[in-house]
Parts: sequence; structure tokens; C-alpha cells
Amino acid sequence: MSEKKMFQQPDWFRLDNAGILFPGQNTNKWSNIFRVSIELKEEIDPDILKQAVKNILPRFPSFNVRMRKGFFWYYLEKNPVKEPSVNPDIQNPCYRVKFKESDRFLFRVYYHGNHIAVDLFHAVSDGYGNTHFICTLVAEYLRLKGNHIPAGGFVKDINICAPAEELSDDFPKFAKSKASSPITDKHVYHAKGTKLPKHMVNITSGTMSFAAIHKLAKEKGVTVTEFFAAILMDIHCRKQLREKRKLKEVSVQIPINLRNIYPSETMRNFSICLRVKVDPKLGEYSFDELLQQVALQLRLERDEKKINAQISKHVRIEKNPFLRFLPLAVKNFALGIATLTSAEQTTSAYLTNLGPVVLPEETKPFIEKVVFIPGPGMRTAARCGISSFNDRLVFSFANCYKENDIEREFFTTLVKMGVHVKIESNRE
Amino acid sequence: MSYCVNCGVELDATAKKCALCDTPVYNPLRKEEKDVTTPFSQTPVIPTNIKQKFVALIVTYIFLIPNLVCIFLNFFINPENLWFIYVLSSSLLCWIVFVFPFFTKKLHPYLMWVFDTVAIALYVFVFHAKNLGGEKWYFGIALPTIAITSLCVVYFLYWIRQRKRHWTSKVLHIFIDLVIIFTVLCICLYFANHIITFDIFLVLDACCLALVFFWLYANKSKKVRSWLGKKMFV
Repeated sequence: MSEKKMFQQPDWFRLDNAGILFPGQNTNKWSNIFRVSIELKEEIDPDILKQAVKNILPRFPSFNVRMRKGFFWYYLEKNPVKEPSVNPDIQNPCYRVKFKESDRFLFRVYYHGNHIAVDLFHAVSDGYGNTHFICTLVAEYLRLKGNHIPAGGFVKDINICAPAEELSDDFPKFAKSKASSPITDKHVYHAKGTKLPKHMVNITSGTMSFAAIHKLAKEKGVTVTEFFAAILMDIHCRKQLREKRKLKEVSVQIPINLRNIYPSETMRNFSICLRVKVDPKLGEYSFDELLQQVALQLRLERDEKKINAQISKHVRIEKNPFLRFLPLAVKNFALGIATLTSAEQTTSAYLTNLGPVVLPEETKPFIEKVVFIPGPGMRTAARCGISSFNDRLVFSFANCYKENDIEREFFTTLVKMGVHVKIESNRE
Repeated sequence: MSYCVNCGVELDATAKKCALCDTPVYNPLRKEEKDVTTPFSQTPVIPTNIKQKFVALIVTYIFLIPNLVCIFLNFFINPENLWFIYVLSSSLLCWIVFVFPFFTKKLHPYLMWVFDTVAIALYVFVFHAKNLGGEKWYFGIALPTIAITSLCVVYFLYWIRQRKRHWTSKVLHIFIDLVIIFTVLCICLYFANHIITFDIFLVLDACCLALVFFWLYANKSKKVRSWLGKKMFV
């Protein structure tokens, strides 16, 4: 093992281009927070887990922070607290973040039975960053239990210091386009229902075989994400027709990891959302037609030049001198109103795929599955997360409504296609 | 392992009912295990927030201080003219509109609007009735205007909270608005010592009321609705 070096973490740093929005949008009713959890094969020991968190935290300088207010912007400052608390899990994951709670850390570590979970505020990092954090945490936990776990895949080597690239905001670095992509979009269909009490969310996870899903998607000539997006779109289109409401477009928002397009090592936010949509006014789409629509649209939208135009536009907005010199209170007020009136108005469903979680071979005997749960939305009933480890794919819904007809229709569709699905939920 | 007979999905070993369709799990072969962990924790955490009532109480005290000072000063400065009433009525209006809602646990939009209307009517009476033509002006013009606007807002609130809006409900909405306007006009004109004759409004009101009943029936009955759709398409 190499000698542990002293780590020089900067005292403060700016929020990244995607992260600057989230603190302003953060309210008592809604926070942009998401969860990655790992289920092990044995009961979790909280004392060892606490030690593991303490050990790995210096390796993740972008997580070892607290949110502070400047005169013009929020910024992240090194958190002087050395030991983040580790708590028993709760029924309502991803409840709102308050910057002064949890020792001012912007993540929360939980344990319950066999699983370890990390809820993370999106201003700190995206799903990719959080997965690295939890995988390294689980590896360290297993090491403290007396197992030999090397670094590799999503497990970072905690004996070396984090390179500067992991802390950089890579949006301005790659934003080169002079083109300006339009941000405005039409308001789309939303499945409505009875709102759950404040801070509550209904989580429904379906565990299935990755190989079975991959085979189904391959047969149709699409990827797993496109396949699931098409099912969600089909459910929403049919639901809208049944409700006999004024027909609106149905759209699915899909975030993509920009590290797959640009050579980036950052542990902070570096993803962008793409949107695929269909207009039911054009006529009734069959499932195969929807598959084709989703696959073609998503592949067109994944064009590097289009993505770069979108990033460049966001970076230009951040660098606008007028906005930069606007006091933070004014920015927050404007952002709050914009969130209240237009948040999620252009998205019927949200689908984020973490992709296959690659871990060292030595960890495989200890890990059952990886679960990715997006935070509940303000209006969107179907906020879905996909994660896969070994042959286990977990599809999770975070629903802010009591009704679960979308979840039911989604999983029964898969059952009808011949996929074995195991359901777990936080509903009582 | 148990499966849902309705959905076909496998259920968690601890599940008592299907998480998708609420069908109860009945598996005579399943052993009752006491120390089995559920896949999700069953303990919710509801974070505590700043107590709204406490903040509202502080603001109420802040409102009270200038009013008490003004009442006290009125005994010494210009005591024959009760000028403190102006300060009191303005404060009361602000308090009812902006502070009072925070004392309630759940916001009742209709009830709040009734309070607001009463507060506005009282405020206008105290502040302007004497200066702008006396009680006749107040009961003849100011009060009807406030009442009509308020009732229209209440009905608009009701209408906007309705989920399904058929075109017949829109027509019904127009007639209900008209009934409200004419009824209030009739009542106010009667009490305002007949500035304008109210008979014509009474006839209009009766006609609109009859139409409201017709459209109410049309809105409820599928048969009438489809007949109207057939006969009156544009």
C-alpha cells in the first residue's frame, strides 16, 4: 500500500454550472436530492460504517463541504466537522435538505438491515459522483471487516489524494459552441393524483435480470434506456387517452453522463438532460412506433455539437455580467418563482440510468445489488432510476402521489413480456 | 417466496400485501419470522420547520405596538377627533390579509377570502365613507362593488379547483356569475333607498337563475350533454 499523502483541499470553491441552480430551488417542499444504496449480504455494523465514512471522506474533497452564502452566489466551503453522522434509515428517503442540518454536510449516510444508503444534494455531485462515493464507502467498510478489497472500477484508492481534475467544473472547459440552443419548450402532460403529505415519497423498486432486459431491448434494436423510456411513454400516452383530458405532448427527460462524451475526471456535476417527446394529437402510437421514436430522437439529441451548444448556452448565462452582479437574494427570489411556476412543466416522466456499476471482483461475493432512487418531483409521478450490478437490474420509482397505477402498469408490462420482477416498496 | 395473483410479480418475503395493487398475500407455506428486516425502513422522519404560528405572533405584537401608542396619544393630541381609528383599521386590514392565514393549520381559501372581504369592506367604511359622500355612497356603490367582486372571485376559485371542465360547465359558470351580480345589485339597490330601480335586475336575476338550473342539470346528465353536443356543435 502506498504511503498516505497529506491532502490539500481548497478552503472554498464555486458551485459548478449545473449546481448553481439547486440551492436557489431548494425549498421546504422540494429539494433536488437523490439516493444510491448498496445491499450487502450481511447485516450492517453502524460503528464500522461510521469509521469507514471518516476514512474515505478526505478522498472526496467535493463531498467534504458545507454550503455558504456569498453576496452574489452560493459557494462550497470545506466542512471543519471530521465525522459525518451515520443514521438508521428512514421511510421517506430524499426528504428536503437544510444546509444547517446534518453537521452542515450535504449528504446523509443511512443503514438498514443489509443496506447502506447515501442521500446526496445534487449541487455537490451527480449520480456518477455519488456512486463512486458509496462504492468506495462499501469497499472501505468491507476492508474494516477484514476483507482484502483493492481499488478499481467505481472504488477509488483512498491512499492517494484526489487529483485537481476531480474538483474542476468541466462545463466551461468544454463549452466551445457559438450556437445557441433554445431552452423553452411546451408544457406537457402530467399524470395527476392525490399528493402525499409533505416530506413523504412512495418508493417502488423492481429487481429483474439485466440479461433478460438486454435481450428484449436487443430484439427491438434499442438500448435498455430507450426500451424503458418507450414503456414509460406508452403508459403516459394511454393514461392520457383514458383520462379524456385535453391532449398534450408526452415527454421523458433523460440525463446523460457527459464523461462518456468528453474526457473528464470530475467528481462534480457533469451531466445534461435530454428530452424525447411524442405528440398524441398526431394519432395513437403503437409500442413499436414509440420505441422507434424514442430511439431516433435520443440518438439525434445525443449529437455532441447539439450538447455543446446547450452547455455553452448555460455557461453564457452564468457568465452574463448582469446576472453575476445581481444580489443573491434577488437571484433566489427569481429562481424560486420560476421553480414554482415552471418546474417539471416540460417533463411527463424522468428516467435516469446509472449504467452498470463496475466493482472489483473481490467485492462481488459481498454485494447483492445497487439501487438508484431519484428524489421525488413536484409534479412528476414517474421519476425513475435504473442501476445494474452483475446480472441484477433495479428499476426504482419515486412517486409524490398516493396512486401507483404507473408503477403497476410498468411492472406488469414487463411481466407480460416474460421478465421475472421482484417488487419492494416503502408503502405500509 | 410469494407472488401477487393479480400482477404476477414476486413480492418481498415480509410483504403483507402487493405494493402495486394492494392484494393481500396469502401463503400458507410461509413461516412467520419475527426478526425479518423489511426492505425499507418503516420509520418516517418529518423534519421540524420554523413554527409559523410563532412568527405570526411576533408580527402581531409588532402590529399592536403602533396601534396602542396611537390610542394613547389620541387622548392628548386632538382628542375630539378619533384619528387613531384610521391607524387601527389599516393595521387590521394588513393583519387579516397577511398575518392571519399563518395562524391556521390548513389554508381554507374560501374562508380566508370571506375574512378578507369583510376586512376590506370595514376598511373602506371607516376610511372613506365619511369623506366620499357618506353612507349612501358606501351602501350604493362601494359595498356592492366589493361584494360582486368578492363573490365572483369565490366562484372563480371554485371553478378553477374543479378538475374536469366540460363546455356545459363553462356556460353554467357564466350564468352563475350573472346570478351573483344581479342578486347583489338587487339587494344593494334595495337598501340604498332606490337610487336606481332594482325591478329590472330582479327579472334578469330570475331568468339567469332558471338558466342556471337548466345548465346544472345539463352538466350532470350525460344524455342531455350528448344531445346538446349533437344539436349545438359549431
